[in-house]
Amino acid sequence: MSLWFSIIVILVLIAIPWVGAGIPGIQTLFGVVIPYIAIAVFLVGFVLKVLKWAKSPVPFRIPTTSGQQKSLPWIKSANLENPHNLAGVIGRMLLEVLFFRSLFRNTTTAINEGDKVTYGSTKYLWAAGMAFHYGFLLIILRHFKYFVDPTPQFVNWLQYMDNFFQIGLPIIYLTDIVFMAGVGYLLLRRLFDAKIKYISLPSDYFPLLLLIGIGTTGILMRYFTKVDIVSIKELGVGLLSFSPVVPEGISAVFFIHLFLVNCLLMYIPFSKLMHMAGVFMSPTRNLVNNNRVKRHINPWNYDVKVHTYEEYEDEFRDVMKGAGLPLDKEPAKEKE
Amino acid sequence: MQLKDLLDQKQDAIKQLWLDLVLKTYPPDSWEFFKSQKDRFQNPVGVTLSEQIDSLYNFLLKDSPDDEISSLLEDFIKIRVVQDFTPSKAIGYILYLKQAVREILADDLNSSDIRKELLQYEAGIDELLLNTFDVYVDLRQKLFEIRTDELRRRSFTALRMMNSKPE
Amino acid sequence: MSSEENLKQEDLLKVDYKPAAKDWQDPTIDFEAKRGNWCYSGVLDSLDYLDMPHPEKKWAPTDEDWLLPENWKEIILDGLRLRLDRFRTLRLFMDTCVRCGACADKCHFFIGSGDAKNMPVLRAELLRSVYRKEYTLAGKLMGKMVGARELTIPVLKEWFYYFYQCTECRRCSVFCPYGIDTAEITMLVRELLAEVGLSIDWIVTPVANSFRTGNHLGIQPHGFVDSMEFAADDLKDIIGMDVEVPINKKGAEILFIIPSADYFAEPHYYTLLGYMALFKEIGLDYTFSTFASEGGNFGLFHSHEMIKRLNAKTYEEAKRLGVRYILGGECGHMWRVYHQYMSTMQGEQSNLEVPKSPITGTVFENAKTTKMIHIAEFTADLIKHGKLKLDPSRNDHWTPTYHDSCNPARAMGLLEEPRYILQHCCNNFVEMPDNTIREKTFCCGSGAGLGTDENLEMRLRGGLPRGNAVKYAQDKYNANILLCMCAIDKATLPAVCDFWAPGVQVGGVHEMVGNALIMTGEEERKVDLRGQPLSGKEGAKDV
Repeated sequence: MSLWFSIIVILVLIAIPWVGAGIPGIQTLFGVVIPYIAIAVFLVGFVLKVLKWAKSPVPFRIPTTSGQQKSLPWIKSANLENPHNLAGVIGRMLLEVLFFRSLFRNTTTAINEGDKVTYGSTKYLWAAGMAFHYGFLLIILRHFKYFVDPTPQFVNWLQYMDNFFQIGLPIIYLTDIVFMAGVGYLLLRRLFDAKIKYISLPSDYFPLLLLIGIGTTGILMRYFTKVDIVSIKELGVGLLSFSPVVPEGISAVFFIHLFLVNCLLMYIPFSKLMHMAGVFMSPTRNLVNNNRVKRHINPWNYDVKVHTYEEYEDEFRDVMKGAGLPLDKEPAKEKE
Repeated sequence: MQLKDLLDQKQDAIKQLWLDLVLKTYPPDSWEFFKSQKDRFQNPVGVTLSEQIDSLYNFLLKDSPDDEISSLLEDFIKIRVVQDFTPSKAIGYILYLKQAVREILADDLNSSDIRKELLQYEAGIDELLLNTFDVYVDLRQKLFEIRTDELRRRSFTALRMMNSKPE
Repeated sequence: MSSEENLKQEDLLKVDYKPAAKDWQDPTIDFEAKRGNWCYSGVLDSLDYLDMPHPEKKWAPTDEDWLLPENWKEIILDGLRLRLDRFRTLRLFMDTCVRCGACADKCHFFIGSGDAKNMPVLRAELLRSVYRKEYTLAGKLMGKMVGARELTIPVLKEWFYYFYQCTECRRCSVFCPYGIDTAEITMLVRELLAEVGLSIDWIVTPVANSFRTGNHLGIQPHGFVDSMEFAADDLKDIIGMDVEVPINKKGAEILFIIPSADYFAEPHYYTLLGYMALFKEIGLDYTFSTFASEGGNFGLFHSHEMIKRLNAKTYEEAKRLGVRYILGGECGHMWRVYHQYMSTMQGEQSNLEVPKSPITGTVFENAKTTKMIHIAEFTADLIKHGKLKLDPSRNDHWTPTYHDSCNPARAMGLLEEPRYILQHCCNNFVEMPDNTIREKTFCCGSGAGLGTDENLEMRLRGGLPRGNAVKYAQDKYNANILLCMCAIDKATLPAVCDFWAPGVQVGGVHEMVGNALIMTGEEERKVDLRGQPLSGKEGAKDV
């Protein structure tokens, strides 16, 4: 049901620009107004969300330590897995953000003939995650050619790399394949791995389907239905330079593509997609494991009721005396 | 052809079905994990079950001596004992072998010789179930022992101090 | 009856194996049928002693009515809001999970039971669903479609059931791409439950005991003295020398704090003998304390407030006795508190000094602020500097393997120190498979206050992954003792081993040190600290 709900929502989202773009005069809405709204919602929502997180303090320093601590000088410490200084934290975060270090930890053990234990890896999730995220990043960067005139040099360079194998006509971008394969795998495992399916919500299927929708319309435009790239670039450059114009002759597929992208932008601040910011803020990853070296301050470190030694000795003075333990205050004998 | 040969020939299919039937006594979200994760350290339940199915199947096929049986059964029953099953559900999985054999050999059961042999074979399964019951009860007993041992360990010094002060 | 008919009856044989394919948002739990999975509720006297809210009379999880206060929902929701504002962890962990499932099969309870709600992602989702309903726009508007659930009494009962099935071991957190720490979520939900009077007795009674007597067993000062003297006598029988045990001694250089099970329970006790032998040999000027006679902090399993209430004793006693610094024994969650919470909670301790080994002169810069070091760090340093004479052959009757206790591993990173010690004290040390040790270590299944009697089945199920790896080391290398540095491990792993790997004993690292340590002036050792004959001395009389 979760899946169907998401599919229906996506279809509705596709239908809106499809129908809408045909109505004369309304193209400004899809080409200019909605994109600006989407960017505004994204930026404001994103910042507000991060501020909201940042407003809650980090009362305790509780990094998850995944390697040897720094203790005695002759024991080699694992600064990237269990950072003892800022450099270690930066390294750990880079590994986490750029290479999904934690996901990479998945290993599996096999016992082969001769009872030898070997470790293989079950890194499909990691590989698909990397494929999707990097594919997406490169595609976004490549899209700068539609917003900036003249096309920046790095985009040309990216495009050259992306076309490296010169397959197909128009030449197929490797990133398109990698991106779609990554997203496809992430969706399929939600559908076919029973335990993942069990935990999946519409809010898990929806972004994947949205991305597939965006990817598919993009691919359609590049390889199948020819679109007027010059007009699209005119629109893009106009948007970015705050002097928007909507040129004639832009096809409906483009408006669907753009609308879905806008939906994604607006969806991000309200969803789990905020993990893109959250990953930087996770207190189990971004703190130095130096609790015993440097005190961490808790802003709401309140007073609590404690049981003092005085109260303790008052209660047990006689038995302590009997057991020959030293006392702070001698028992008052005359009162017995 | 004799039943024995059939059981030998089609053992992979029968064992597979038996395994699936047992796995279905677990919640649906965990079947696949128990089934597909082959790492014996990440998935002791699934791996132990597969091994047990293998060894029990061979046991029934080969008419091995009875004295081996409890040790064969123990590894997996141990798991069932502490999982969330009623006693009947915990050991009932042995009977699923009957179902698996009948389903996989459905076409071969037209011959009355085979049917006769099947009844005999199934009597062996019943016997196995009774063995399973013994093992199950022994292990429940073991749990009680573990409980009392734990209490004893918890008050180790106190017990020794009480027993050892002659003065 | 023909056999033809007989075969047609095959349907009768089909046992009903249809799974209860409920979706996870249904919270109903049949507590009566789930005996062995939950723990008894907190005793009222203990709750009173701690000024904690509780119902009029004791309730049981099997009761229909849990005697909640009328405004229970308000209390929970206000409490949740407060904690969202106080803990960035909670806020982030509510928002950033993408349900990728990397954690799903990392929990020992899921591996052992197959119960979906033991997948860390779903355990957290039990709280997250309520968070969505109450604090997110999407949850308010779209309810179930975005995984939002109303907070109802069945949901509350489900929290009680599943958040007392988490041992706060943090294994899932190691694999999470966003570092989501289920232990943190469990701790905060338990706090919320405690506010409406729901708690378990194996947590609140040890907490009350620790608060009053200093240790979780409620041993009074004279009992403590007796136990220590008894242990000193035992040690004397083995080494043939008198051993002095300083208690509450003002002006000692070091305050030594251990989990109370060390002087009361087996096999912890042998580790205590190991400490005593070590300190005698190096002539350490130390003292035990009856007031701070428990390192283990059961408050950690209850609430952040309770951690602080119990932990306050440590520095208070160090100050009162005028020691220079504090040394801590082998314990797991005790070290989680000492390492990650103590200095934040209790502040700078200007009256104490940066720990410096009186034997080697090593200054422990890694404990510059807390002024508290781990016994494994202390002993490893002694061995490195050649200050101990060790005869590892005295441990030849043991083939030890080492269980990294969750908290020292995943909340400190104390991985090499114990191994270094063991390699110098034992000839036969072996390791379990890689993905079951170090930061990937499997929990004993009984941590975080779950090590009690009524939930033994659940504990053993949770202990299966650990027990299974021990069994492997037993079959493969003839391992016969599982060493660990945690009092809960020592209390509960014997059950795990008896069940999953019968024949494997459980012991502590310093038990091996005590065995191997050649002491000045000792009699020739014929038995180990357990009174078992040493290898090659089997004919010797048991003492």
